[in-house]
Amino acid sequence: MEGSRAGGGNGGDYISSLLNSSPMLDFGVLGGAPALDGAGDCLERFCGDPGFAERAARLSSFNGQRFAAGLIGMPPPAPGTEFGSGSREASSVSDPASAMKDANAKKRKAPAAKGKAKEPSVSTSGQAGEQGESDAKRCKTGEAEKKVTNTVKPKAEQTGSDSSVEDGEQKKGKGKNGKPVEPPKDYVHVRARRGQATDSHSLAERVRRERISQRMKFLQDLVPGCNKVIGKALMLDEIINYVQSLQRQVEFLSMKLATVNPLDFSNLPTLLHKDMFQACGPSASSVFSLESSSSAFPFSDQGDVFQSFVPNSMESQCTLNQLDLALSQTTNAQYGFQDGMASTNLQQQVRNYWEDDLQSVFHVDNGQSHDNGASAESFHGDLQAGQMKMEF
Amino acid sequence: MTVFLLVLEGLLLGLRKRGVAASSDIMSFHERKRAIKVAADAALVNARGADATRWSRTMLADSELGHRRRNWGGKVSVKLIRERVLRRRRGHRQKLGTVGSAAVLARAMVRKQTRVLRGIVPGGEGLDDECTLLGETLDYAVCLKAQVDVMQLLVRALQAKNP
Repeated sequence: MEGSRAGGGNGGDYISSLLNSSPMLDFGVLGGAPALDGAGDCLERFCGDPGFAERAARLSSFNGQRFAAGLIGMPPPAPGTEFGSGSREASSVSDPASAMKDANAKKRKAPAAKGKAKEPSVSTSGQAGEQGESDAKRCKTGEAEKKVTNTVKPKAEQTGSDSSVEDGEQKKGKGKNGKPVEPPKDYVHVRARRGQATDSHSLAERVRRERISQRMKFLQDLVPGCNKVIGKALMLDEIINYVQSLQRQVEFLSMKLATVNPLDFSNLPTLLHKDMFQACGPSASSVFSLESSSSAFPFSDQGDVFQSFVPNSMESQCTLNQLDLALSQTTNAQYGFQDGMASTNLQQQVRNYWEDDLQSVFHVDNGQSHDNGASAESFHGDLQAGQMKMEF
Repeated sequence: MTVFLLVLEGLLLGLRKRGVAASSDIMSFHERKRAIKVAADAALVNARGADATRWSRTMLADSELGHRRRNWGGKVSVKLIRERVLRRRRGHRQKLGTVGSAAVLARAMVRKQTRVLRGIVPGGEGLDDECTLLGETLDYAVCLKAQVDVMQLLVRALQAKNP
């Protein structure tokens, strides 16, 4: 086992890999350690215990990254002190470790929610994570995500694929020295639960299954009447019906709109004002400004709707940004007033996340030139894609 | 900025641009309806972010084939070709034989339903991953709901004025 290994060397490498994979740790703690590569040495310097690395390696086998975090947390208060028995070490480490890990996880989730790659690290599934997901879901899955640590195993037991994962992690970790905020982008890190199979395929499978069940839960909250139904097939049935009914409603409403003969927009502000006032008070005035700004747009020719449309939507962002604050409190009412459906927590969160993301997108887009609608749009899309790259 | 308001604004702009706002002499009823629907879809796609989701990209691509080809030309054709190929590949895998246990039945039903869902959600055909399909569905459903709400609001507002 680990004891037979050369204690300092391999254990140090191992620990440094663990350290590298948790970039959130405050490396100032290491006391001026020049680089993360020397983390293992630093630890030894700290503890002055030649057998420490050995024990560290052993403990890491069942504590995973928590231990490494705890290592960083522990040494400064007691540098050079020799730890007691392994179990005491484990327990003493676990508390600051868990706190630190939670902090790490939280810190990591915030940027991770934007940029984290969700591709299974060793999965062979051909589908690259599609970039097409709302941020709402991204954030939510980021929150509900399993721990971001890789399964940690003693080197002797690692399969080839896993060691490649760890190598990838090491590589990434070392590449991340300059920017500690950057989460690993290419791999999904999953903690293997106790008593469950830890080989690569089942891990990837499990990740996939969890993602699917998560999304089914979202859908369940979204589609009215799905709460009573349990079971994938029935729920899918409901979802299909719902989407089909929505599409049919769009058709029907467009027909209805077509029948309104003088489709004039001059009175629209007042009408909307009256209509929306009951639902969401303060937003009415903002709709006003929205209307006035839209009326200022020149009537371009009846060419492509999309091309001419996008620059205008970009232009209107200035007004939209002002409306953000006013509207943020009305999100609750937005979807409530139509069908009286009480918005669940989830829906609110979804809306809030979308709002935030759209806000951020707009803020960025404000600086973009939009001479060509397509390029601006694609840039916008690329920006979002870059942010949520491979998340879904 | 909520999706709802984005769609609303987009729809109004689009309608104006398409000349739907004018009196009905210029366009026939069906033309108007179609124009409204197209404008609504355009507004929806733009509200969501045209490149952000797969279904939005598909909708954009589909509608652009009706109009001119632009810089997206490459993407459009690649997407369509890919989807056609995938459709053909996925087409005829039918499981004959006796029905097994309930679990097998359920699985078959689920598979059938995911196929239906693929047909409904734009861009679903090219997706192999069930997980992303569900995500796209989620996204699409929320946006559709927003679209429906916007249009209902408009109808209500306009009909209140002209009884």
